[in-house]
Amino acid sequence: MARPVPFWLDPARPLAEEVAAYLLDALRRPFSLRDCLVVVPTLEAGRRLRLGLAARAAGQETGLLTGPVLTPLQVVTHGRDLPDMADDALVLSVWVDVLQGCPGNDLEALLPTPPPERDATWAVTTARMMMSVRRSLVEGGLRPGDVEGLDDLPGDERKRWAAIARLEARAARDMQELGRRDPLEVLLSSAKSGESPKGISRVVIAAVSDPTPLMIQAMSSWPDSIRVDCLIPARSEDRERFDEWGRPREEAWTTRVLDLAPTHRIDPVGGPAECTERVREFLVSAEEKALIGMPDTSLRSAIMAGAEQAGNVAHDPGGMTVETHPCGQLVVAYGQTRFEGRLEGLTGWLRHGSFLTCLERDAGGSSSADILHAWDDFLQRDLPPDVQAVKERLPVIEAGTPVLGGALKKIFEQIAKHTDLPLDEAISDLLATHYGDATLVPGREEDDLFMAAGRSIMESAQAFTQAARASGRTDPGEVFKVWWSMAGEACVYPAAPPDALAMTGWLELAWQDAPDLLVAGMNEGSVPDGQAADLFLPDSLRARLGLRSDTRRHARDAYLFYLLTEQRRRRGRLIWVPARTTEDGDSRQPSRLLLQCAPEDLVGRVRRLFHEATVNRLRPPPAIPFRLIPPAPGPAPARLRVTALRTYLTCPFEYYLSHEVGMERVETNKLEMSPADFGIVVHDTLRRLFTLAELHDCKEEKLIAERLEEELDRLMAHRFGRYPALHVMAQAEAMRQRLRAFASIQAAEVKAGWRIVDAERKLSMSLGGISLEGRIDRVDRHDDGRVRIIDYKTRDKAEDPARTHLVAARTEGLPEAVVEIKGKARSWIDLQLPLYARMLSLEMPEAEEITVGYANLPKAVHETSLVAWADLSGELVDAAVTCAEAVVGNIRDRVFWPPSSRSRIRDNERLITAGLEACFDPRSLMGSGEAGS
Amino acid sequence: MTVRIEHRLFMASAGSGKTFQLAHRFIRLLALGADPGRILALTFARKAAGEMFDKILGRLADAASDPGIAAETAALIELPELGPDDFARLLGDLVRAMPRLQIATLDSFIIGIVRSFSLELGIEPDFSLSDESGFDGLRLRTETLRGLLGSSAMTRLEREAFLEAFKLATWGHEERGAARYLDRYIASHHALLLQLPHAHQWGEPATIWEGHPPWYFALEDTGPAVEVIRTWITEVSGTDKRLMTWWTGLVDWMVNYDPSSGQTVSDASGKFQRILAAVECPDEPSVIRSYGKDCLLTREVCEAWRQVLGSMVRREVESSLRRTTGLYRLLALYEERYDRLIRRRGNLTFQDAVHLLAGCSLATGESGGGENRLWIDYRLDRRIDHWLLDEFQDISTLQWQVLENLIDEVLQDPEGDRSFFCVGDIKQSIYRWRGANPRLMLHLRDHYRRALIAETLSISYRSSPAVLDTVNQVFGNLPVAAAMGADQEKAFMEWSALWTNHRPRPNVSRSGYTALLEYESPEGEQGTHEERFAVVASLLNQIRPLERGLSVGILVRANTTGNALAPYLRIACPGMAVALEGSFSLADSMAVLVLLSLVRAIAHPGDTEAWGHLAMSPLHSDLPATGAERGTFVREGLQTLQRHGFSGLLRPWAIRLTETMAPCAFSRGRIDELLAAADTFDARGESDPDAFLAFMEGYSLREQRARAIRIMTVHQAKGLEFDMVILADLQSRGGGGEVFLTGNAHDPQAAPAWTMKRPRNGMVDADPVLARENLHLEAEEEFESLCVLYVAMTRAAEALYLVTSYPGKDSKVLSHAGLIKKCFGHDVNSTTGESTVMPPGLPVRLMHESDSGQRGWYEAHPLRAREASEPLPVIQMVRAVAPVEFDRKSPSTEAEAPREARQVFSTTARDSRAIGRGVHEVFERIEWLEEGAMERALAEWKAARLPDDSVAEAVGRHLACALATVAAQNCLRKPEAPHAETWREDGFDVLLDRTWITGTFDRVVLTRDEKGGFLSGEIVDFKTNQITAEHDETYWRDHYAPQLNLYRRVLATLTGLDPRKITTRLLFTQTGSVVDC
Ligand code: SF4
Repeated sequence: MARPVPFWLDPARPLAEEVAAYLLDALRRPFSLRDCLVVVPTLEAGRRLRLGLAARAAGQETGLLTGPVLTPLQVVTHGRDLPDMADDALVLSVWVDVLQGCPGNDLEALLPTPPPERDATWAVTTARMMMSVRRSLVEGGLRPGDVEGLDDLPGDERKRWAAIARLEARAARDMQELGRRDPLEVLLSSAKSGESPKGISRVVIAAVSDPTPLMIQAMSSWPDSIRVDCLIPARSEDRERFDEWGRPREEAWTTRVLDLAPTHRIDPVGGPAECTERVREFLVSAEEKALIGMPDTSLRSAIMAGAEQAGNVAHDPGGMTVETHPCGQLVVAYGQTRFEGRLEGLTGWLRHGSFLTCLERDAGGSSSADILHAWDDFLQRDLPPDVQAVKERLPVIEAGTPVLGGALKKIFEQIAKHTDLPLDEAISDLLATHYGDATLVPGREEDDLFMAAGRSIMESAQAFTQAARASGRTDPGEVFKVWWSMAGEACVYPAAPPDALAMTGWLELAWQDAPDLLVAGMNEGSVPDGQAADLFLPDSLRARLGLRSDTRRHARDAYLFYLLTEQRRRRGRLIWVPARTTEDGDSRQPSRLLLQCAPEDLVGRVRRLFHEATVNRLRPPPAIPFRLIPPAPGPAPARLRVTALRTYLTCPFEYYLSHEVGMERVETNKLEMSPADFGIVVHDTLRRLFTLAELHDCKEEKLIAERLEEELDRLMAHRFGRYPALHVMAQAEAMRQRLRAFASIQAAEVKAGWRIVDAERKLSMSLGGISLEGRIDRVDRHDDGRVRIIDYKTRDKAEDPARTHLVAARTEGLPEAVVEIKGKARSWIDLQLPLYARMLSLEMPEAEEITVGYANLPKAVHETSLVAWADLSGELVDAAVTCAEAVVGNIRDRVFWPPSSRSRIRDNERLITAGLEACFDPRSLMGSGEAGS
Repeated sequence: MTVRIEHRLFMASAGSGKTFQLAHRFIRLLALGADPGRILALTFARKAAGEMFDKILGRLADAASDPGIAAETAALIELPELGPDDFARLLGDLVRAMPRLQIATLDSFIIGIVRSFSLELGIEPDFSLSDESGFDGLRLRTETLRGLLGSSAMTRLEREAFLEAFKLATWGHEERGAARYLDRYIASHHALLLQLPHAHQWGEPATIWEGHPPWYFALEDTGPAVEVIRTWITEVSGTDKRLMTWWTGLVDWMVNYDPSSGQTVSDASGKFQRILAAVECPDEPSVIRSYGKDCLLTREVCEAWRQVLGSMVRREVESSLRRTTGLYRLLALYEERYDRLIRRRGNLTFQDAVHLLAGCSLATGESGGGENRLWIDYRLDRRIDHWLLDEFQDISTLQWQVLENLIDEVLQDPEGDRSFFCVGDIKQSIYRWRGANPRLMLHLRDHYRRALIAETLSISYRSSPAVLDTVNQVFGNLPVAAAMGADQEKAFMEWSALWTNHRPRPNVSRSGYTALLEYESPEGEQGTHEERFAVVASLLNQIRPLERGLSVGILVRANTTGNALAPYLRIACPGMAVALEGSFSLADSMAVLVLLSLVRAIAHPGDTEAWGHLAMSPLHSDLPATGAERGTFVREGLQTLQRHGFSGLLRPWAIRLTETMAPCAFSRGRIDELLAAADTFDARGESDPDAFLAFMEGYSLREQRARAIRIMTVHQAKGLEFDMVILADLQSRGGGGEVFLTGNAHDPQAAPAWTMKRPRNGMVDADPVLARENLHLEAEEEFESLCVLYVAMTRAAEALYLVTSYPGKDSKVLSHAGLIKKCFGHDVNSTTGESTVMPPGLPVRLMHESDSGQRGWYEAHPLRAREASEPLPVIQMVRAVAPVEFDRKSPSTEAEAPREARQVFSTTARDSRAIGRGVHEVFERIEWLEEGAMERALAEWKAARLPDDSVAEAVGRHLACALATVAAQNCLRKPEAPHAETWREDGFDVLLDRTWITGTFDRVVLTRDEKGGFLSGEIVDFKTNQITAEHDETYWRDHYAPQLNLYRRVLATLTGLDPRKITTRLLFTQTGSVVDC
């Protein structure tokens, strides 16, 4: 049985250097550690150690042949040939099967409230939970049966562990049938085998403050011909505080006084923003090599910002997940499109840089902007609820917008091609189609990352394809889901840019030798890290089982605190920065280590840590750093829509931006027809009253309603396909009700002698050199020769034309817009109907009297009505024309400033933050405007 | 524990030291030996939880270091024998227990339980939490809705059921937007559905009336009754045309009443009420007086009116019921989907968490839920010995259901070693809209009156005597007689029953000041917002509080008032910083807006508004000029976004913008915050620009501005105090927005039994059941309105200004302003009072003041020199001391050949890599090429690795080819030398020229002399590459030369050999060719 021999290192010296010296100093050249297994706490520590070894050897003008530098978990299987060990893909697949197929009572023992259905999503999540529970146990050298066997375990928990053990046995058997062994089982049996790793004659445990019980189990079983050295950095008076494996004893470290060196500080900050500041100040003032410790990853961006503001390139060695890499994003879009039928998938795919690059290249000049624009337009107009609906409408899209049609076709063709392909081939085809031709140059940072991500995706896709084949899973959607749940979370690591300042995690800090150290996020939950929410292995159970418990972590971290302090006691700075609040303003507690001080210091420590004044930084008041400069107006338009005049009357500047500069917003995430679209469909339907001759003088309400409904159905089907979304159907239903109500009005009007004589009639008239154009919804003529203009309205409430055109007089705006009616001054806000009346009278001079009015089809159907503008006199029409002349004149003269107080731009929170006048610089509008006036 | 600890309940008042009491209770428990980890202290606000802990620690630290404070504390906790050392010990105990402390918000406590028992509750253990109204909550809702509505998987039957429900819910209201409508309802009523999950609870007459409702039998055909009435009208009107019109109008309105119409009832409701009152007692003839004439209703006429009225009510109520049913079906469809796809999958809102827990106890008898709940209770109960609850008035019925059993357990515990303590102030319950049920506090007090010691705290440690006088004067004698309607009357009476006059703390140093100021209206017209704003500005300009070091809060009721007031004051009070409280959005910066438009333009190239915006911004010169360039710009933007996230996309543009715009600390700060927020978003692993934009729109910042006049809503001011408070929004009346009536709401404990859409005012009174619930609801609203005023007034420490404007000649509404005037003996619309003219010539009437001698109270705080506002420290982009790191080089990786990406994704790539590895592994097993060495190595390798057949076969082929040439064999043969050794697949670490070289030798052959000194070295690198015409051996030699040269230097460093003694070779395994490098 191998027994460790402790060796004490000077805690004040840089750790990597000390360990390197220990390892190399007794060796002869050429230095070789090939037969020496070195155990380090983390991979990063191993990297630091190897660098330390290289540096030490360089001091003697040589280098070294490195041996295995491993973490405790790697030790157990090192140097063994384990060809029949199942990979993660197979383990997950098997567990998913086991969970989906296990008897109900096992599931109930495991989960007191079993899921309503055992679908793939549930199974994957639960399987992964099981895998992590088992991994925790195995680190402790345990099996579920060991837990089940504990004394005085509550009955339901015992049942739960028994169920886990049964499920585990079933999974192991399934793997066995496939010729594979469960990897955790392999770990356990390796640890008990008593075989030491091939070619290793010596083991050095280098400052590993929490080796796993499994590793200790394994090493203890090795023959004692293997020498195990345990290196422990500690002062001589502290030697009793460790056990033989170098573990800080819990009682000794959780209660000992952790003092600060005189030059060290505790410096609490409010929240993340203050943390940024503190990091910047620290780095700017650092005289020597400086380092930031980041025990709390929630402060990552705050710390990185501080480092960047201090002129550093900050690097987070934490890596990125594959699903956030562009390759992964493409896979996500693919999965959403193909298996979930979600539009987000299509949007993501269309927006994907690689796809757009292919399209631009293949279609020669079809622009990414055009495709995405067309896609937005399509989504807005046709409101497809899902991918299937898009697919159905593909012919229509191809005919209307070939660029988009082509792009979508490519997507659908690719998916169709994949129908019978296994997962790995489908993914390979997907990625190769999108990226195939790119040349990757190893050593180039971005390309290395790309290769890592690509390999990770492909390797796991192949592994999962094999696993699926082995376990007989055939549904491609499920295979994809099981695969991606794990593959998407795999990490790839971008290389650190040269000279980057790496944010170092807590467990690695002791291996860094920078004299200046700031540890940001010295809070409970980070140091020691919390592991509160383990439902299967709560802390008390962990402690009993010898797994890593809260007390264990406390002891470990107290020791690390001590070590960091000792390392910088003689030189350098050490600043502990706990945050008082989270980003959301929740209060946080400082790490208990900061309060583990001598009793006489406690009051001072408490005051320092809980002092109110640290809470928040004060901000300057809002300011406007620049004004927006509208483009200078071009020549006046030759034609104007009547509706544009209304905008001008509302606000000249608004008219300019929307009608001349052409600023228009794209509505996103549109679920249903907008009020305007709703109105258009109703209008289009009502046109049938004119285009269908049989309705011209039809007095039968029912028939009219029927014909209108038929037309509505036809229009809706034409636009939205056979299966529109439910809410679009609901909208259609609302239209149907409104149209029915209108049918009765229509019948009554016909009975009263009115006939439709025209619809959607285009009109124009020249005014001040500009052609004014409009379109009348409908023209009626009475048996007695009267003519009337009707405009359909589908707002929520019925409208009165007299009120929508004229309001109480306004003091601003054009003087010509003010008109006196019955002694009261009124202002034009719209000129539509009077202008139509004038235009029509120019075209139909024979018409004796032309009246105007609205046909209201409002929300409350009993308010459906025709509202005539009774007192629209000839003079009033003249006044409207005068007003129109003035507006047209101003437009011709390019007068767009000042804006009116009612300008809707004032509410445009996407453009301005304060007053319109404060946010725009109108000088570009002035020159021409003044010249004209 | 030796002392039995009493259970206490404190009915507190504003400023009476609730937290102080709580902190001392905690200390008392500690001193009595309670385990701090078994004390549960709960509050409502996040901030309060942190403050409570700080306060306990602070007090202990003070008592530990100051004998005076120690004595005071000891007295307060009724353990006078304790001294500083004891408190020091307690402080140590507390600090050591810190990780186990249970000081939390009620929400997080509940979340914690749900987390610990998620398996029992049947939700995914690793659930994520979102705020219902936040970005995620909104998104989950939209996602569910979209899925529900867009689902082409729905069967025809399901689709029809949906449409039918929708038609019902919107009956008579043909909505243009179904999704919009649904979203609105779901947002506001999903919670109600969770509370009332069953169909029979929604608009089901049998549940509401426990039988038929009284109007049920009303006839549909009211023709005969109408005839009777019309005849009667002609009779009573006689020649009076006006009377005739009045009555005819009324009957027409009632007969034609259509519940789906948009018409408001208020025009006619006065008449309606009179008819309603008249027909109430059919046995007596009633009289209705109109236009000075008494109209007598005989029994027959009364009956006719009743029929008309009953039919009208029936139409209204039936319409309400029908729509309620439809709405239920829609909500239930939604809920089913939400539960299955969102909640069970581990996305919970706070609301969901409470429902999950409370639901368990409600569902006793259902699917074992009750059993699980008991088990949860049992486990929880064992964790808590002592309960401390703050702000108890804010607890909701559901939250109470979660705690009830546990608390009951403690209060009924005969052992007496556990305790309960709770503080609250019903008068400050302003969270009814969030479900708070302040009556629970009274219930607790009365239900446990034997176990609990209830006390009232009425000494204010905050406010001056003047402020307290004013508060007492208003709230101590509410004008019950002048109440508008039964609801207000009920609220006033409930309030009065709770009231105790507030007393100032002893030895208060300043007497303070309060005033009621009203803008004098010119012609008795209703005053405006601006008038009150002018008074506020004038007060501030006169007092200049900031320069005197006084804190100022201007409290408003509605956000909109604050939004209007802040810009007004910024102009009207030059030199004063004015801060609008609340969460700030990033969008208050022009710079941020430009950057957001950039994202929009890239994501939606058709968004001409975004492009136009960019073209008007300082970034215009960096934008694409033509349409074609725009395409490239968009694609490159998207690529950057996909590679580097939003922060990576925006950062260079942010820097560009900062360079081009005027220096501005505010904008710089906002840009930093935007980038930080972008980082946060990126960390979520999402790349959808629309989600990003929505996230940013909802992103709020909590921040404080240097010494400012703070404008905030009363809700935001809760828990705060100011030297000087101005109330400027007393005119508006809040509340009354409730769309649903719920039944049983009058029972403080019971969950509501039913709900229905509230029928229109007036009509609701015609039904006794609905009228009762409605009165209750309205009285609650009125009560809460009083609470809002109380909270607002009690924020003032020294001075309080109540600013009103004229309500209008005919105003009868008892707004806060009106109420205050009443309490000071004025009529609501009186204009008596001392006229004063405020500086800019404002006509203002002083309607009340505490003491005219104190009008200049603020003079006691002398003006100080104006401090320049602290500028944000200038951020210098200086390079900090570079961390000294060595570059790391890995020769073999860097020597890899450039390749087409296609290769990476090829399904054969894995095999090729396995083959490459395999070849290396077999070679590693060959020390010297002797007879059968290769075959042995291959066999061993196969046994150890169990490779796929294809891989094994390929490896074998490589080896066979590789060793087919003599040159290759020579690489593996033992050389002639006294001693020879190989290094195979050995890793090395070497520092060369400050670069850390790390890698692995494939094979090194070293010869030594007799004494062990090195003679020569040979490095062999195995390459499995294809040799092609294009890439022939020469090509590869050139390609790999740098790698091998580096190997040579490394080996020289390791062995001390002269590099010239080291040869380097490439062995191509496909051909067996050996190339010297
Ligand atoms: S009125 Fe009747 S008969 Fe005449 S066209 Fe209309 S439906 Fe036919």
